[in-house]
Parts: sequence; C-alpha cells; structure tokens
Amino acid sequence: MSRFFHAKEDSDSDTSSSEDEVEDQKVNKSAKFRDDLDFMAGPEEDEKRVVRAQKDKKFDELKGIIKQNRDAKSNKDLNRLLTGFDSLAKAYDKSKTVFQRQNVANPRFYIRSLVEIEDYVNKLWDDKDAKSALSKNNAKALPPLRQKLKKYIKDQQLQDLVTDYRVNPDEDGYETPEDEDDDDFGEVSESKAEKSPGKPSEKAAVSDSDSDSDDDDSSNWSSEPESNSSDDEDSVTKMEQLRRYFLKKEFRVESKDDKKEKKKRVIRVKEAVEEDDDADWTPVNREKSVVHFDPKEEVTHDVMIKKLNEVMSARGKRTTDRNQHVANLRKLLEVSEEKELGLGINVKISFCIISALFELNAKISDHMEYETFMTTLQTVNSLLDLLIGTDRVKLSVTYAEEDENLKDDTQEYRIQGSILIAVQRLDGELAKILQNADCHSNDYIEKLKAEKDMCSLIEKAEKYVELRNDSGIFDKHEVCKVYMMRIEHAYYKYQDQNEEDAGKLMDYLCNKIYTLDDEKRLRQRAMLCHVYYLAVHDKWHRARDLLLMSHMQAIVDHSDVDTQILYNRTICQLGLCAFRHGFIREAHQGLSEIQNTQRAKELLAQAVGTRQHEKTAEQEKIDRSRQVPYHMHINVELMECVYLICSMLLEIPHMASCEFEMRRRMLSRSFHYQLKQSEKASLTGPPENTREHVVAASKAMLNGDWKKCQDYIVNDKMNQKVWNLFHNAETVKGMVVRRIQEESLRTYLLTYSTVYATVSLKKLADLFELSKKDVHSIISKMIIQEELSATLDEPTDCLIMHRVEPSRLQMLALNLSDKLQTLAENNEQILEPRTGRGGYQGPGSWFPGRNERQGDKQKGSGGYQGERRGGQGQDGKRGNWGSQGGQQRRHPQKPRAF
Amino acid sequence: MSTAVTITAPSVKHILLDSLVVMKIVKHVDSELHAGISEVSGDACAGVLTGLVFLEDSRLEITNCFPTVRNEPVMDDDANAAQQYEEQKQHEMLDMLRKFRTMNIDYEIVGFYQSHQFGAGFSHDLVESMFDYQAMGPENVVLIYDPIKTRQGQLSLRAWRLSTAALDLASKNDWRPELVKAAGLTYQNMFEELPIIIKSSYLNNVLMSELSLAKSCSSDKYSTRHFDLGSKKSLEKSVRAMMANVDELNKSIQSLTKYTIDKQRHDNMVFSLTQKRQQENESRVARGDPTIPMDDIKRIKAPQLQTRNGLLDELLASFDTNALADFSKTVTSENITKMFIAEAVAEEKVAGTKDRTLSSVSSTR
Repeated sequence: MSRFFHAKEDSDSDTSSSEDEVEDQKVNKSAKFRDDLDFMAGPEEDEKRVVRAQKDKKFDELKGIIKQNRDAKSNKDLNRLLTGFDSLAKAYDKSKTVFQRQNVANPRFYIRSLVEIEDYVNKLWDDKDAKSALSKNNAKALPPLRQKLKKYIKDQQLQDLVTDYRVNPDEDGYETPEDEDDDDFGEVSESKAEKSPGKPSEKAAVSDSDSDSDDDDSSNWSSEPESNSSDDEDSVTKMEQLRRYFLKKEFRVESKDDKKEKKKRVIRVKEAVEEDDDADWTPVNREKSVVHFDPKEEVTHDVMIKKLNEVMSARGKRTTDRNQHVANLRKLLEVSEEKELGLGINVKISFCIISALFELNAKISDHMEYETFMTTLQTVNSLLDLLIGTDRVKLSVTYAEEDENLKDDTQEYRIQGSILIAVQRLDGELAKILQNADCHSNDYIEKLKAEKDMCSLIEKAEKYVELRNDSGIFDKHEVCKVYMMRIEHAYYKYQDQNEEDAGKLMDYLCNKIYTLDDEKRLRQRAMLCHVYYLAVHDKWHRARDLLLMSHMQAIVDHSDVDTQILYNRTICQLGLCAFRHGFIREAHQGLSEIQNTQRAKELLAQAVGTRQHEKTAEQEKIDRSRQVPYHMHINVELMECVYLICSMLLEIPHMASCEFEMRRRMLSRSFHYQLKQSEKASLTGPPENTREHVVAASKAMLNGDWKKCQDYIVNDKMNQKVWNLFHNAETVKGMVVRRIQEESLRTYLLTYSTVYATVSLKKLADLFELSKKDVHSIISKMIIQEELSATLDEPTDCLIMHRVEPSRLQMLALNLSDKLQTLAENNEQILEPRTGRGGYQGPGSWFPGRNERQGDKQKGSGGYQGERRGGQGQDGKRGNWGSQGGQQRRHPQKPRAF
Repeated sequence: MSTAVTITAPSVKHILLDSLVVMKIVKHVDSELHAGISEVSGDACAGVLTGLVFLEDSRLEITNCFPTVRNEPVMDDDANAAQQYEEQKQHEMLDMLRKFRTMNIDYEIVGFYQSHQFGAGFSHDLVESMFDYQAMGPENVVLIYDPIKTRQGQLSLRAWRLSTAALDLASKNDWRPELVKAAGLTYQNMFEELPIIIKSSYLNNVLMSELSLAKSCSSDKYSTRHFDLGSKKSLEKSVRAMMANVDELNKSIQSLTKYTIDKQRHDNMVFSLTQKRQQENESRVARGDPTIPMDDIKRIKAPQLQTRNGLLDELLASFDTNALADFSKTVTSENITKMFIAEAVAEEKVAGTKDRTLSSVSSTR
C-alpha cells in the first residue's frame, strides 16, 4: 500500500515544492493511522466492505454535528453546544453498532472533537472572567455540559483514547482536520476493498496466502497479494481519484495563506495529475504483476496448486485484467511443464486457460475476437490431443472439487471440468463470430475457414468420446451434444462424391442420438437435420417418410424457437427436393408454408424482421442471436421462384377450369397477388427479375402458349439465377419444361373447349410437342376427373366435346347453396361476435395466407411460432402435410398411368 | 291493435273439417288461380270460416266458409279508397253471416283460410290478422291451402294458430330480441298446428266406395300419370322462394349481429358510467353533498334493431324456409322413388336397356 503513497509523492514533488512539507506530514500520519487501523480491522475485512456506505453515512452525520458544535463554540453559544453535544453523543451511540460491526474503532475525529469540547469547556470553567461574561442562558448551560462531558467520557471508556490523543494531538493549523481523517479512513477501506473483492471463498484464499507469506518470511510473497489486486487499471484510476481528492484539499490548506495563487495552482496541479495519469502507473503495475516463484524455493505440486488457486482467485473479479489473467495462467503452465509436475497439473491449468479465454469478453451476447477464438481453438485442440494421448487423466464434470487428484502420480489424475462443454462453447462462439461478420466480405470467408478447424476439432472430440466412453466420465447429455454438433456441421453440406459414405455417416450420427438422447429436443433436432440432409441429397422419399414419422408438424409449435427455425429450414429444403423430383404439388405445399407469409427470410432466421416498433431491444437482440450464419442460408430467391413455378403449374389450369365459377378457390395467394399486380400495371415491360419471369410465363400459359411460357422460364437469365443453382440443373429443367407442356395442354383444353366440337389428338400432340400417347393419357385423366366433359373417339383419334349447360334448377340450387353458406357464416358470427376483421374463418381456412396475416396483426410479437402459423390456419395446413402421404401414393403413377 | 287483450289459452285439440268447406276452398282458390287474379292483385285468396266449438271434445268443427271480397286495385293513391274498401268488405262479411243465420247455417266465425303456394306464406300481415282473430275468439284458426299440391293430385290443408307466447308478444307488438328470447320463441314453436279430420257425409262415403268398386274407373288407378315428374317448375319456384327467404334471413341476421355488438358496447358503457356515478355519489354522501341522479345515464339511448318488426321477420322467414325445404324434400324424395319405380317398370317392359332420360331431376351436382 505504501507504494502508492511513495509514488504519489514522487509525482507531486515536481508540482510545487512548498506543498511537500504538508504532503509529507499527511502521508506519514495517514500511514501511521492506517497501520493501527489495519491492525484492528485485520481479521474481518470483508464484512466491513459490505457496509461501507453505511459507515460513511454515519461519518457524515457525525461530522455535521461536530461542525455545528464548532460553530457554536466559536460563537460562545453554550446552549447550542450543549444540545449539539447531546445529539453528537446520541448519533455516536447509534452509529456505534455500525462501527462495531465493521470493526472500526472510535473515529479519531470524534475523539478530537470530544477533546476540543472538553478543553473549551474546561477553559471556560477555569476562566472566571470569561465565565462571568457569559450570558445568563449560556452560564446556565455550562455546568451541565461539563458534567455530561465528563460522565460521557467516563461511561464510554474513552479516557484512554482521549489521553492518547492529548499525548499525540493533531496539528492545530488544520481547519478541517476531521475531513482528512475521514479520507484516510475512506482510502484505507477502499484499498482494502480492492484488495479483497469477490466471493468469500476467494477471500479465504487470499488471507491464506497472507498468512503463508508471514510464515515464509519472504518479502516477495508478502507483496504478492497486493500486487495482484492492484495491477489493474481500474484500481489505478481509483487511486487517481483519491489523489485528486487529496490535492484539492491541499489547496484548501494552502488557501489560508495564499489565496491569490490558488487558482493557478489548481490548474497546475490538475495538469500534473493528468500528465502522470497512466504513463507513470501502468509500467509499475505490469512489472509487478507477473507471476513468479521464489527462485530459492523448489516448485512442488503443492506450491503450484496454491499458486494456481491464487491466480484463479482473481478470476471474474471486476478489477482483474483478463488478458493479464490469461498470461499469468500461461506462465504457470510454462513453469509446470518446465518442472515436469505431471499431466494432472498441466491439464488443470490448460483447462483454466481455456475458461479464462472464454471469459475474455464480459458479455455473453458479444462475440469473441477471431484471434482469441483461434487461440482458444488451438488450446482446446492441444488439450484434446493430450487427453486422447493418455488415459491417465480423467476430466469430468462428475468430480467434485475436493475429489480432484492433481499430484498423485500413482493414481489416475482426476480433474473437474468438461472438455466437451468447452468444445461446445467454442462452437457457439464460432457461430457468433460468423453471425457478426459481414457476410459479403472476404473477411467472412477468412473466418469461415475456422469452421473447418472446428469440424476437425469436433471430430476429434467425438473420437475422444468414443475412446473413453467406457470410463464413465461423460455425462450422457454431453455425449449427445458432441454428436449433435457434428450433425449440425454436416447436415447442410452437399457432398457430391462418395455420397454413400456421407449418407452413412449421417445415419450413424443420427442413430447415435436417437438411441442416446433421453430428452426429446436433441432427438427432434437430429431428426430434422437428418431430413434436411436427405432432402439436400435428393432422397425425397426417405426424407418425407422420416418427417412424417417424426410427427414434427404436430409438435413443432410447442418446441423452442431454434427448433422451429430448423423445422422451417427443413420444410423448405424438402420442398426444393420435391421440386427437383418433379413432385410439384408436394413442393408447393412444402414451400407455401413459408412463402405465403411474405416473411420467408425472417422465418428462416436469415434476416431480422423490419418491424422494430413491435419489438423491444431485448427481443431484437435475441432474434439477432438466432440468425443462421450466412453460409448455411437457403437461397430465398430460388425458393420463391420455385414456389411460383409450382404455383403456376398448379394454379393456371385450375384457374382455367373454374373461370365461370362464382367463388374461385385460390391455391396460392401470393401467386395471385403477383398476377394481379402485373395486371394492374399499365405497361408491362419485359420481365426483369425471376418473379416477373414467372408471372409472364403464367400469362403465356393461361393463353395456352406453352412455347412462350417455356421461354420465360428457361432462358439465360433464369439459368443464372435459378437453374444453375441446382446440382442436376438439366434434369430439373427438362422436368419443368415437360410439366409446362402438360399443364399448358390442360389449360388449353379447359379454356378453349367451348370453341371446339372435336379436336384431333394428333393436332394437339403437334401443338404441344408431346407424343400422342401422352396427350391421350392427359386427356383421359381429365375426363376421369370430370374436369373435361368430352369423350375420346378411338377410330378417328378425336376428342369429342360435350357441351353440358347446367339446368336452371341446378343453377338455382347452386345459388341457393352459396346463399346458405353466407347465412351459415353470419350465424357463426352471432354466436361469436367479433369486432374488426377477424370473423368466422371456417370455409376460407383451407387457404392459410389470409389467416396468417390476421395472426400477424393479432400477435405480432409472438416470436417465430406465432408468426409462422398465426390464427387458425394451421390446422388446415397441418392437414395438408398429413394428407400428403395419400397424394403421394397416387403420385408416382402419374407419368405412367395413362 | 288493441293493447288490452286478455289472452286465453285455446282448448281445442283438433279440427273437424266438413268436406263442403274443402270443396269450397278448393273451388275458390283454383278458379282464382286459373283466372290469374291472385297474380294480378298480389294478394292471397282468402275467406272466412264458420263453425262451432265443441269444448267438451276440445274440438273445433268447421262447417262452412265463404270467400271475402278481393281488394280491387287502387288506381290513384286515394287514401279514402282503401278505407272504403275495408268498410265494404266488412259490410259484405256481415251481410253473408246474416244470410247464413237466416239459412240456419253456423254463423260463428272460427277463423279464416288463405291460399299460399307451398304452404309457406307467413307474412307479417298474416300474423296480424291471426292475432286479430285469435283475440276475437281464442279458438280461431287459420287454414292454409296449397294450390300447387292440388295440381299434383294431392290435397294440402293445414290448420295453424299462434302459440300463446307468440300471441303474448303480438299483443304488445314488440318483437325485440330480448323479449323473444325470454319467451323462448323459435320458428318451430311460434305456430301451433292442429290435426284436421275431414268429415264427409254418409251419402258421400257411399258414393266414394261405389266409385272405387266401379270397374270403369279402376283403370285410372294404374295410369302413368302417377309417374309424372312434372314438378320441376314448382321446385324451381320453391328454390327461388327459398332464396328470397334466405336473403331476408341474411339481412336480419346481419342487423342482429350489429345489434348484439352495439348492445354489448352500450351495456358496458352504461355499467361503467353507473358505477362511476355510484362511487361519486358515495363520496358525495360522505361529504354531505347532495347526490347526482342517474337520470342522464338512463336516458342514453339503447341501440335499436335495424329491422321494422324486430325478430318477427326473421322468425317468419325461418318458418317459411322450413316449409319450403319440407316441400322440396318431399317432392324430390317422391320423384326419386318414382324414378326407381319407373326404372323397374321400364326394365320389365324393355329388358336390358336402361333409360336414364328420366333422370333430369336427379342430375343435380
């Protein structure tokens, strides 16, 4: 502690030589004072720290009263002095408990004040002249005051202190000596506080080392805890503040004799203070902070462990410089390796280093520095290597701290901790780093390289787990997590060559989790990843069956947000997979769940929603932390395009078939929206983006012009934006063109059936460049499904149209049924009156879009769950997926059936 | 409508209808229908029923009837003309009753008859006249005759009267939703139907049995006329009428919805205002100040149902729709039965070929 004062003196000495004297005195005094206080306060420092504020309050209170007393004294107002003394005694009585609890002795300024009053009263008492000169009131007050004082000092057993003080009184020149005293006090306690923050247990460690140092009689040791606690910039600034406080007071002292110069000095002193702010301080600290052992002493296990404990005790403290902390640990590791203290210690220290590295940034939401991440990765890697290399070290969370065996060579080393959790945390940090990197910069690619290292590390961890799984050191959950991490690093990657192996690996990993995991969450996630992986690799049937078997669509609403995001991603990927396989309806169903919401990006966690006003900063932060790193993104534009193409293929024939129906049922709202938008435009130019391409193609198809439609869908621009993104682009393109031909034929027949009485199949085949057999099959199917009222005439190869107009009664009946429907709707509304737009949604709810938007309005901030499937639309959608199986069974026959 | 009406519960359980009355009604309505008068005037054929009440058998005997004079179309909007007609009508009715009396026919009015297609013509006016008649004599009923059914070879006569609850509401002419709800009135229990027994004279009965035994007429029994599906037109008409009723229902339901919402809002408002006022008054009492009366709150106007007759229209529309639906149902089911029979017959005659041309009605989607 004295170090500070010396240093301060140094820095002050150059400001003004005239101050030196005062300074010196003060320093001496405070040092002395501190010493005896220290002695008294020794054993229970920490408790005092807790209630410091209270103590200060009491001090202030006392000082205020003393000040009043002094005023009264100088005014010779004995009456006021008497009451003042009473209140002082009372206040002191009250605060005594506080002092006692904090082990503060009777404050010196209090004693001084008592002595002063006593002296004054005695003087008055003795001085007959002065006494007679007193006013009547004052004269009355004097005897009781004197008696009270005497009695009080006697009662409180303050005689010793008073006599002590008399022997060694404060200088008379002080104007406000008690202030200074208090400051000394404050400083002492403050420096104590610095010395011993943190939890009591750490406290104990420090005091332990303290006592140790006493025993050892080693000067180095004794300075250790202090240097530890004070090597921080924080403490420096704090000391700095203290010093300023001192300096200011010095002016006050000075001001007595030299008021004119005062201002100048202030500036000068302040300047000086600022000058020597850091420059002077930091180097001193650094020098002292390095961990070192006494060269004379042999470094044994015990010493090392003690040292480690000591260093670790600084962990997590506000005042600890984290970088320094890591460096200290590193040093320890070096020493321990040097002295060959055994693996146990090494592993323990390494593990401490890893956790220290993780703690380098204070906030959990902040991401790690990339460099730190790499070092951490390496550290973990080497530790893992070490652990794999030997089976004598057991690192497990199941051990308690007391069970640790760090030194005993003959037994296995047992250390508390989990390397797997470290790996997991590292993985999380990587995700955070990638989330926070600019995804369009080279920087991102640089950082992405770490992903590979991470993968190999996880692989290594898995190897380690499989190696040591029998020894029972792993928690089941931990093991699951390791497998899960591997899955999560693999599921979205497309592997072209030796696909079989990769698929097997995925199966293996997922099966591990299916068997190991007790809680459902990981199993669900693994299942979704599995489905995703299968979908990416074009294993449509397996992927779909797995998803349907998992019943995820039924439970996903009740699962956590991350799983929901994964589910959304999986659904989209599955939809794309179905599209590649030509299962247009399935693809449409899969994609519409996400695409119809108009917030696909948000639902896939690839962008944060723009509606800030609905979200608090907190929520926004959470949302941000959930974002999927860029390299895992699903191409939303591609998805939208695929969705629109699917919609086109399904919707256009549908539109043609119910052109005259009063109520059109829309399959896809967003597709209709796009169509309507383009119809609204007064001038339709050539299509620019993919969306416009599809819309233009749809219009062409509606007119039955399949060639134009095809040109819009398959061209250079679309190749670049859409088709080249498929790994089997040519097959997909072929499939789409073929579907366009078929659907155009259907649309053509439906739209123009009224114009024809008969059509030759050959002509149709020529028109749509399909084989006659295909045309035949398509037409037959339409006839069977009662879409087209016509018959095929085999001998002439003609399609004969039948014109059936509904009879009047039928029309009327249809009208009536419509009316009844509205009646039913209105009726429902009576049962459940609702204001606003929300109303009975029964008949409309096969279409999710409408409800979705309503849902948004109702619970905009409901997180991913509410957003994705608002309102009552979900049941309908759920049904869709469920029924998909049935449709699917029909589906494979489609190309062959006719 | 008089306000002070004592409503006595009717004690009649069934109706004994003289065949004479049936014949007279059929003749009256059919002739008018043929002449197309009802289409011109837009009014239903109507007449007065006379007879007597047998309280000990709780039976109403209707023994005679006579048609009332039709309103002649009023050329100018002469306010006096309508009144004159009314007087004239009244006068003729009294005159007829007097003649009945002199001829020793039952001259006590026991109700009235009206013809309505499909038996569904319950309008506000009809309810009003039913109330008038029932107020006059508690046992009075209305006979609704369906000329369409007659055309199809069946006789449809149904006797109705207003239920006590409906009568109660009609006496106040207040069909507010709350009251209707409190009375537990639905379209099903608004009207009460009474079973009708048609009584022919013995001479008649003898003639009938002789006719049925006579050989010359018996071939008629098996004529193909029974297979006639010529109900398409009437079905169309009934569907059309149903649509009109459903439209009506829709309208009233919408206004009812609006009313419920408004009412709820109003109730809430009044409640909160009252509570506030009560609190204020309590504090005023505590202070010794005079209390503020609640009059202004009570004066806040409650929302009104936006239909003319409260829920009455809705009830009537429901009732009519029900009747129409019944009609359609019976006709279609009959037709389907006929078709099956026809098919079977046809198969017997021309083996092998099924003729589906008859199935025009069934081919609804």
